[in-house]
Amino acid sequence: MFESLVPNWLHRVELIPTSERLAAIIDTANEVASTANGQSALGVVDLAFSGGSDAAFALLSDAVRVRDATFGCAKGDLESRLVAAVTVAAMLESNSDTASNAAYAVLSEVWRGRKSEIEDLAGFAREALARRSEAHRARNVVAITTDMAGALKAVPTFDPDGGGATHEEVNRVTASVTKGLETVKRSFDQIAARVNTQLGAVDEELDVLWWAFSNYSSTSRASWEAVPADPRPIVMAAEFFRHLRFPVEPQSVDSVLSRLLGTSADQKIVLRDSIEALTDDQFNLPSFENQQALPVLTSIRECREFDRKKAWIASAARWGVDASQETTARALAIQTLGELVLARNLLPL
Amino acid sequence: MTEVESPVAEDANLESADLNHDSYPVWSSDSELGLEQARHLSSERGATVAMFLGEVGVGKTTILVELWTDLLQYGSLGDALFGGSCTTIPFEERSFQSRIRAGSCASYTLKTNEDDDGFLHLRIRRGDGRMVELLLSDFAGEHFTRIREGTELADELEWASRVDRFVVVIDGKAFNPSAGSMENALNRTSRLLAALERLQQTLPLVGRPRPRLLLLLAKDDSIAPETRTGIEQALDQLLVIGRRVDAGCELLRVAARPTNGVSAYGLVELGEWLTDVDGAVTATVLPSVVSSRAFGRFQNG
Repeated sequence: MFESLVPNWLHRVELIPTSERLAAIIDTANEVASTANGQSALGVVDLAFSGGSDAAFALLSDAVRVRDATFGCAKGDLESRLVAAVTVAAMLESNSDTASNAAYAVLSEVWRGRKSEIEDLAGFAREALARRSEAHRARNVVAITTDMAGALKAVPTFDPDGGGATHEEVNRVTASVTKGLETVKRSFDQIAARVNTQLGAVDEELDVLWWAFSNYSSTSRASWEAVPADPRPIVMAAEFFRHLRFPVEPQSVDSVLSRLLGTSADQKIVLRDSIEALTDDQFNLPSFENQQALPVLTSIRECREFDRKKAWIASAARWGVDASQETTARALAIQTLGELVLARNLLPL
Repeated sequence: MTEVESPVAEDANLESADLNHDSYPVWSSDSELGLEQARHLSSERGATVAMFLGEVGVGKTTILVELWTDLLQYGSLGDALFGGSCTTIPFEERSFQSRIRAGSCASYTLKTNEDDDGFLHLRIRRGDGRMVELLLSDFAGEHFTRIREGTELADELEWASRVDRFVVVIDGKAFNPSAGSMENALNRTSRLLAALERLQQTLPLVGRPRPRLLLLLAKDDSIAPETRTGIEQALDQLLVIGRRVDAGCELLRVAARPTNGVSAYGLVELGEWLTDVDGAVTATVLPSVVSSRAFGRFQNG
């Protein structure tokens, strides 16, 4: 679908709407989207939001130039950012974890107040998360799809008028039965995986619902009302995250967190205050590399590494973090949860 | 000693020019920009493309020349400041004759031939600080004769569907009742507007700003006051057709190079209209994904 929107997106730079450049950009977007890994996807998102990812620019400009030798844009050109944004749109449309990772990175950029040259990207990212969430958690009918009747079709037939079975014929029977049983095993493996996925979704749902129903922070050992307002969204996101079993959050995350935050959901919080009020035992930092797509996690780490001295603010600014950013408690909780999921997705397998 | 940068670099290559700074030395291609050069320029910051429509002699080039002259002379046009140009030499080539006033020889603008078709570039800093790159078409009037005679706009000028601003230039002199050519001018302009209407029907309805249309009555100073009321009805007819193309279409009276002693007028308004580029873009509406689980559909009441 994104292909049909590209002419509109490139309107500001393109003079001939049916140019070869247009086709080259669409081809590039599809190719890079299908081959990108977690980090390269984040680099492309960064470039789409006017960032300075040299690696992402080299990746894209080389790919476009292969298809259209006249492409000679610099990294800071509007067209380069548009090519990156088109590629992000292609990633978001894919049916892979790249879509989830790119979506989290896009929403991080939006949360930080940055803008893409394609304003549709935020909507595409939310849609991608909902779609991927449903793909992981959808209720499906679990059925054996393998045709078992054909499992032993390779067993040779014996000539009724023939003599006794020869040694060679017995070997063929043994091989064919083994092959048939392997087919049966594969079928059971597949069904087991699907049942486990379904059970995982059910378990996750029950865990989240009971956790939400309890209205109790196990980390703080107190009801949520008793947890100080500044760190509460981050603590809440961390506890929610513990129950998630898939590489994308459930669609109802906003509603669940809003309900738990209650009247404080729309209260304004300054990122710096929230980070500095967060105690070490309230939040276990996951394994991740500081980066722009993880502004909250990067801030928490820097604050701790600087022993909560104000210098952490300047240090975190190296990754584009604006510690004075004001946000709502709900937005901060959702952002933190997204970052935790993204950080886990980026871990090497 | 610091080397003084030449204000005009005639032999430089457009592709190597660094246009990404908000202010750069006036730099020039030695001719108007072809599509490829214009495309290179637009890739850096985007551009607002304006097409000036009108047959030979209506005053398209004169309008461009006088916009350029005002910007050079005053450094601004109303609140808009001159931010540079990649086509200073072509602008100057077109302006040269207009600055010569020798004896009884009045200033004039050389006719644009089809060999000289191309875009002229202006970088403007608007009053609100926003930079706008303008690509102003200067194409020979013969193209518009062919369009009036039935050739589709997009067939005659392949970049027509990309245009952000259409300026249909009407020759005020031809609308002077004493000239006896009003009916002819009205008919020709109506046909150009009809061609625009047909082009408009082929453009996508959402996802990008709709092109806007302005009717520009050039040489307005040549219309005698006592005959003005006579041509209002004709102009109203054109506005009705124009508003089928763009509901916000207006008529702008311009005297870019008045001959009756009055000061030039209308150019500031034209500059403001060309650089008013905050057209709303309708974002794509995506279908919402409905979860198969009630948990996924949970809404906080």
